[in-house]
Amino acid sequence: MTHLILGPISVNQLFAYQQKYNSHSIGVAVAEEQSANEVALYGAKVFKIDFKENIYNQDIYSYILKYKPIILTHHETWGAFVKNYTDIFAVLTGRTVQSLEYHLKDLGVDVKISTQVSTPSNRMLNIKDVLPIIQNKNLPIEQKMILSILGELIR
Amino acid sequence: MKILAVSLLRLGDIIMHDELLMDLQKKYPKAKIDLLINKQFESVQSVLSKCYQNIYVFDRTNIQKSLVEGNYNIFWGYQSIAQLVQDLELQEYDIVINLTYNKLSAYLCSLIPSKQKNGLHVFNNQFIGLENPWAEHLNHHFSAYGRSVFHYLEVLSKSLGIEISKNKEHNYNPKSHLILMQCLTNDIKKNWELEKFKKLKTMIQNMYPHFEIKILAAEFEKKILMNTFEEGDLYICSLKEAYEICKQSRLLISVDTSIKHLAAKVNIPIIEISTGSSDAIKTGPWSAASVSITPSTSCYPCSHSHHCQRETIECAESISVETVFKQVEDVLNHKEISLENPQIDLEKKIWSSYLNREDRFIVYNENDFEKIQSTQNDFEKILLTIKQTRSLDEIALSKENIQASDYGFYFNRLIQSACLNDLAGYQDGIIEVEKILQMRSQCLQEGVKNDTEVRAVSFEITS
Repeated sequence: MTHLILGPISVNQLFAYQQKYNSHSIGVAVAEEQSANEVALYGAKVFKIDFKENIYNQDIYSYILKYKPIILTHHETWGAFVKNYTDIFAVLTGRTVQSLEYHLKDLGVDVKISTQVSTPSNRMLNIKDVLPIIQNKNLPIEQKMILSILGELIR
Repeated sequence: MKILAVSLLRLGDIIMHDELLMDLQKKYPKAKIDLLINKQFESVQSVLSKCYQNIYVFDRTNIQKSLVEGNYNIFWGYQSIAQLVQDLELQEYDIVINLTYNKLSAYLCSLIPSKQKNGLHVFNNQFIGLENPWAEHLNHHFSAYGRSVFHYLEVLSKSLGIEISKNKEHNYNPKSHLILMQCLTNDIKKNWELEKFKKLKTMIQNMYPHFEIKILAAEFEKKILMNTFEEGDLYICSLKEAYEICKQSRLLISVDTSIKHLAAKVNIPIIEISTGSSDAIKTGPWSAASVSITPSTSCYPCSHSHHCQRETIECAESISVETVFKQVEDVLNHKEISLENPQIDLEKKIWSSYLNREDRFIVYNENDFEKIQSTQNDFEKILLTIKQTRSLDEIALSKENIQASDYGFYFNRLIQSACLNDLAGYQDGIIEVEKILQMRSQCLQEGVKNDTEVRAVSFEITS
C-alpha cells in the first residue's frame, strides 16, 4: 500500500488518485459509520476505523506499521467526523508522541519519547525531533546507518 | 564478479562516471556491473553505455520530501532506504564502488554487503577511503573554493585505482553540416549572453552558409530562448534526442551543462564557454576534442554556492564573440584542437608525484622542452633558461620533507621566480624543499594569496 486516503471517496475519485500517484495500491480508511463498499469492489483496500476504540489495536495500524503509506486527506467527505479524522491523521503518520513510540517499537527501539520530547501536544513531530533521541540508543549498526542517511538529508 | 557502482550526484556527473565504468568493464569484461543513481536522473539511462545489468534508483527527492511534509509517515524515508538496501543485498556483490565522495553515499555503501568496498564508506564508525592521497585531494580540492590542475575524472579514477583513458580519436563528422549550440544552464553565472550566441550564430552563418545551426533546448527553456531566437532555430529535445543529434553534428558550442558531457561521449569537437563557477580544468568535457574558453577575471572560477557579488557577470561579459568565433573557425577548418598547456602539465607532474608518494619528483623531460620552447610566456622562458644550463634533468625533493599538501602551487612559483632571477636558489639542479616550505610559511604568515604576491615572496627568497 503506497497511499491511504482518509475519508470516503467515489470510484471515479479512486481512479483519479490511482492515476495521479501512478499506483494501484491505494487504501481507503473511513469511519465505522461510513461506507466504502464501492471502491472495495475496484480493488481498494478498505479500513473501517472505530473512533471510539484504541486505534493501535485496530487492523489499520498494523498496515500502517508495515507499509508506512502516504496519508491523503479527503476532507470533503469527513462530515460529522472532522475532528476524529483530523486527530487520527497525525497518529497514522506516526507524528504524535504515542504513535511514534509504536513505530519505534516496531523498529526494535523501546523508548519513552514522551519524557524526552518537549513539544506542544498539537504540534506534529518530525524526524528532527526523533533522530537525536534514537541515534544514541543501542541500535543495530544498519539501523543507525539508515538514520544517519536521513540525518544527512535534513541538513 | 558482481560490482555495484554508486553514483549519487547530478546528471553531468553520472555521464562522466559512465566513462570510468566503461573502462572498468573493458578491464574486467566478465564483470557484471550494476549502477545506483538518484531517481530524479533516471532518464539518463537512455544515454548511458550498455555495460550495466541493472540500474537501481535512490529516491532522494521523495525521501527528502518525506522528512518535511506532514502527510508522509515519519519513517517513510527509513522504509524506503531499508527496502532499497534489501533489494541490493540480494545481488550479493563482490565489490561496491562509491563514486560519490559524500557522507550519505558512504553510509549507504556501508549498508550494502560486499566482499570489498572501494571509495568512501564507513567501518567501525570511521570513514574509510580518504587515506588515499588522491581521495584526499578530491575531498579538499574539489570543494567550493578548491583549486586543482586535474580533471575530476582523473582524480576520481586514481582515488579508486581504476584506470581511465581519454579517447584521442576525434569524431569530426566531416560530412556533417550541423552545428549545435547549448545556450542555457541552470545557473545565471554560467550563462553567456544570449545576444552573443545570436551574434555568433550570424557570424558563422555569414562565413559558412552551408552550415545549419540549431539551438538545443529542453521544453522549459523554449520561452526564454524565443526572446532571442526564431522558433525554427530551436531543437527542443529530450536527453536521448540531444545525444542522438550530437552524434550527427560537426561541433557543439556549449556553456557548462550535461550536454557537453554527452557530446564528449560521442567525441565530437566541443567549444565550451566556461564562466562563473564552471571550472574548465576540473569539470570540462572529458574529451581530447574539446577546448574551453575561460575568462581572465580574477574571481573566476567562483564558488557554486554563492551569488555573483559584482554588478554584472563580468567573467561572461569578458568573453567576446570574436574569441569564440576564432575557435569555431579552427574546428571547421580542421585545425587540431590543442590541449597542451606546459604550465598545467608541469604542475600535474609535480602533483602526481606528490600524490603517488614518489620519492623523487621528475618535473620535466626532453619532450617537454620541445613544447615549451615554442611558446613565449614567462614560465616557458624560465624552463628554457633551465634547459640552457643543461644542469637539470630533474628536480628532486625528498618525500620526508614534504608536508604541505599545497606545496605544488608554491613550488611552481618558486621555479618561475628562481629562473627569472637567473637561477638563483638552484644548487646543482636541486631545489631545496626548505625553500618551498619557507616560501609557503612566509606566504601564509603574511596572508599572501594572489599569484603576484606569491611570486614577489618567492623572488625575495630566491634572490
